[in-house]
Amino acid sequence: MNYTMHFLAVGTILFALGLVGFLARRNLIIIFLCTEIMFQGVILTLTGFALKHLAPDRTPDAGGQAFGLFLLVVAAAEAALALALVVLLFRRRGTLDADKFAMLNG
Amino acid sequence: MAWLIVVQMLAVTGALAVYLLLPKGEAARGSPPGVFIGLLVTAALLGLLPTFFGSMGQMREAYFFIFALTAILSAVRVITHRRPVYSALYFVLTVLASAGMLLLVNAQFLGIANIIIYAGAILVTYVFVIMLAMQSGAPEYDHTSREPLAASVAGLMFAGLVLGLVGMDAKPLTGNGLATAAPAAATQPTISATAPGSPVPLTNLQSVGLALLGDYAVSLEVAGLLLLVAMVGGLAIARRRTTSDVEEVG
Repeated sequence: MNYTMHFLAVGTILFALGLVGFLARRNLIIIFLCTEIMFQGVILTLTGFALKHLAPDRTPDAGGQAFGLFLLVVAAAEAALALALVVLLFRRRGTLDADKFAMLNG
Repeated sequence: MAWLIVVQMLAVTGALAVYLLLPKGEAARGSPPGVFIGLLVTAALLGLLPTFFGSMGQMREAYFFIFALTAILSAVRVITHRRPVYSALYFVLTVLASAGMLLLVNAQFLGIANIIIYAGAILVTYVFVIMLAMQSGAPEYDHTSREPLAASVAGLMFAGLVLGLVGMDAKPLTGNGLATAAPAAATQPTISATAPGSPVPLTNLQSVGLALLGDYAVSLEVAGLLLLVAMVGGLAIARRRTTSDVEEVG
């Protein structure tokens, strides 16, 4: 019983939920938390593909999981830097509201 | 026959737990005996779940469905809860459910690394920053969302598109016939390899380690470099002195 489609389905739904939260929330920290939900969806999708993918000598390939580990590394680095920036923005404006940072909108 | 008695006893205790948990008047919500009994019944049901199914495959399906439902519902609560700390806690539940799904297909390293790095490090950092930056109670920007209809439509279109495309034809994803040539490997939902020249199959950790240090060694070094750069960048950002635009900052 191959679980690739299951993993792809759940991963896509998690990614879509993270996308909705990213677009709809106003709190800067929650916006970045929704990107982490998207990362979780992608990890599940990668594992789903790793279940199907075979190495050239027909053994199951561990590349999908290695990719997932690198994804964890990137997620950790991104979370640290994003939160540092959020703290800096909070120190500057005193608010975490994303609508108050709309100065680029001309 | 014994299972019938066990199931009826579980149903009675479940009903008792629900009765205790229901709000009755102005008493404190979530009475501790009710919560405790409810958790006990849920744990007993999940523990007995394997016996309801005839084969391993069906049990795997059931557990996968439970984990998937938990992950999706927790993600919905993350994006819809008004208080950020609860969002972070529901995200921990999402990470645990995702780790459960990974454990089901024998990807133990990725599952446990997910728990350690996400729930153990990244989420703790998020909770710290939430507590640091949101000390003044419930602000109004948590109670409203910007363009909820447009965001939901965007998410719906994305999910509908990708799910529709993914499920359209269930042919094997590798194009050169490898998947059809190895049916034994395709029916078993595990991720492990056999070391060359040894009859004992490798554990998942060993095969991932071999892949990381063998095929993807350069990527590993680049990942380490990325972490170093992120660390230096975080320190540089955090040390910066800002001129604040408001008189007093919380």
